[in-house]
Amino acid sequence: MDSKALYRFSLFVSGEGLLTKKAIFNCKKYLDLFLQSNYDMEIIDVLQYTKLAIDENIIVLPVLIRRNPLPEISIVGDMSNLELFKSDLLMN
Amino acid sequence: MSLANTLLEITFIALKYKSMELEITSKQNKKSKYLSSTIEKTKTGICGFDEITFGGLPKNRPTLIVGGIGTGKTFMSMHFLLNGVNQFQENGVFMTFEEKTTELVSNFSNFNVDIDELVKNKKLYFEHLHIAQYEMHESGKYNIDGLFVRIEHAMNAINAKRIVLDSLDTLFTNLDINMLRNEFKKLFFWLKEKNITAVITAEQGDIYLTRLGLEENVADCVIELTNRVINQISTRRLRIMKYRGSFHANNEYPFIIDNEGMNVFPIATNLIEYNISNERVSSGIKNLDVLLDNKGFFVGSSVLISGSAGTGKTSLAAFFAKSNCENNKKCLFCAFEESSKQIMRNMKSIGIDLEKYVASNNLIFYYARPTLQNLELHFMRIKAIIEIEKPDAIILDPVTNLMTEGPNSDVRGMLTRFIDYLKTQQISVMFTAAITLKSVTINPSDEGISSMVDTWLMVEDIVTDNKRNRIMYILKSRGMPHSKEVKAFEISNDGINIYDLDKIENNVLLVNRNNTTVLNGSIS
Repeated sequence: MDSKALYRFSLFVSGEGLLTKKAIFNCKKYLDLFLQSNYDMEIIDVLQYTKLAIDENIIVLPVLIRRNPLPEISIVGDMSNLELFKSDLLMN
Repeated sequence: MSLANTLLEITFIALKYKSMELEITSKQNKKSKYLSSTIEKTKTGICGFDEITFGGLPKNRPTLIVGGIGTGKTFMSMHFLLNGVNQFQENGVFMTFEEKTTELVSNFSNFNVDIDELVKNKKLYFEHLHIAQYEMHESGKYNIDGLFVRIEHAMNAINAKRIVLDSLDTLFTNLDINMLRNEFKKLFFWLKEKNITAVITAEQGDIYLTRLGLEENVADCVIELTNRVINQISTRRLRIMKYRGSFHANNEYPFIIDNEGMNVFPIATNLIEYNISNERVSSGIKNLDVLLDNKGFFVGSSVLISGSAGTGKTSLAAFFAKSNCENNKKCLFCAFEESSKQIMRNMKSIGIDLEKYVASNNLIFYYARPTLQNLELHFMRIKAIIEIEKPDAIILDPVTNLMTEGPNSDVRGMLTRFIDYLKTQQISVMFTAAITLKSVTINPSDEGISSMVDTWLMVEDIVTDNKRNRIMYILKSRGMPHSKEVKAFEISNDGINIYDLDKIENNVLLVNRNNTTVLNGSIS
């Protein structure tokens, strides 16, 4: 993937439960749909990277954080609500 | 006939009631012995709290502390952690959702504990959690696994036995409450499995007890803190609303928070059966001792000196202080009217040099304006002094000044508790009060005070011949033969002299000054 992509996201999840799977699936689906491959997304499991979760002050999961473009925006949940996803996350 | 019947009935009812009472007390004794052993408890080390819960908080279970703003939730939970480290070798985690950890630590900086040091030595662990400042959107279902992960991380970092979540509901104010309810249920179950004694604080809510209905999930122990303002003086109170599997006291208990920490003041501890002394202590006035079976008061008893203004109550109290000090005992003089310096100056004029005793550390003064703080605080402060100085006698002058604080019933309750406490410590207490027989008829609640004293000395003013004369008599003195005579007494440069009173004739008071056998001082 292009590291200089305009859109960069971090998706924090915990474990491999249903919520995690749904969140990853939905994120990928919607981002592919709206941004094609013009984005970069890292997936972080807080069970493995606890330190990162503390540094990022993660409490509610799953959470998708838009790193770029600024300002940072975060959406919590399994991303099943398409409208919200579109209006908040992709707005510049 | 019918009268006899009614009488019979009344006696019957009385007997029945008495037997019921006996049954209840025996049941309670059994209950407390039985139940207090069924559930393991973790001591909080908070003075008074472990007594009313019969051992502290439920071990390895979550406890909910509910209260409005500024009721002391954070303080109590922090106190619980610090005591865990200092007294019980149990490490603690503090998860705060409200204040930054640095702010929190600075709030407790005057607490005589080096929190930074404890953190460095891995005894305490602080973590500040907050939902990120940037805007949060919701899309679909979510959980709070992040919190679980972080709690576990913190617990493992210092091998914690105690944890505080302060305060859970503020963290999630922006999120959907219905979604969170299940998550909280999960959290509490999870905490139980982790074998950790948890304290969760929450703000008081409107519909539910807490805003998020947390009490539905934390079923084990719920504590409510309130801070009420009555007559412009605020009083903190604590109540145990629920304690599953344990007997607990269910009254509201006043508590205070000061530099020393938190102090809960239970009404009478299970006492009544304290040790009673047969020893006597002199009143400091020989003639007065004569009236009291020639020996004076019982050690550890309570003495009330009452009378209107200017009848010499404080002077009598000063003599009592002097008597204690001269026998090399310690006396605590609690002044609520005059400053200690003023009392010392005034008493010099009747021949008592209190400064001497202060210098020899036999006499300690506690001076405070009654309105300065609430009554509990006064008594707790005095109690704290008692615990350090361990006095043999204590003087409260005058106790009626405390009546300006709060309703009288409050004062009486506090006084009863306080006197009970003093009795367990075998400390003699003398208090002065501006109560006269007349004022009792106007304000019957004043009599409540007198019912809890062992010896009641009444001083009065009688105007005869354009002159005010002081008279005194002993209204009651439990457990000793005592004089029933009305005596005249005079306060002069040499001290207090008590005379026999011949008679009051045509409103003229005749004092028998020839009766020198009972006099100790010179007569002018």
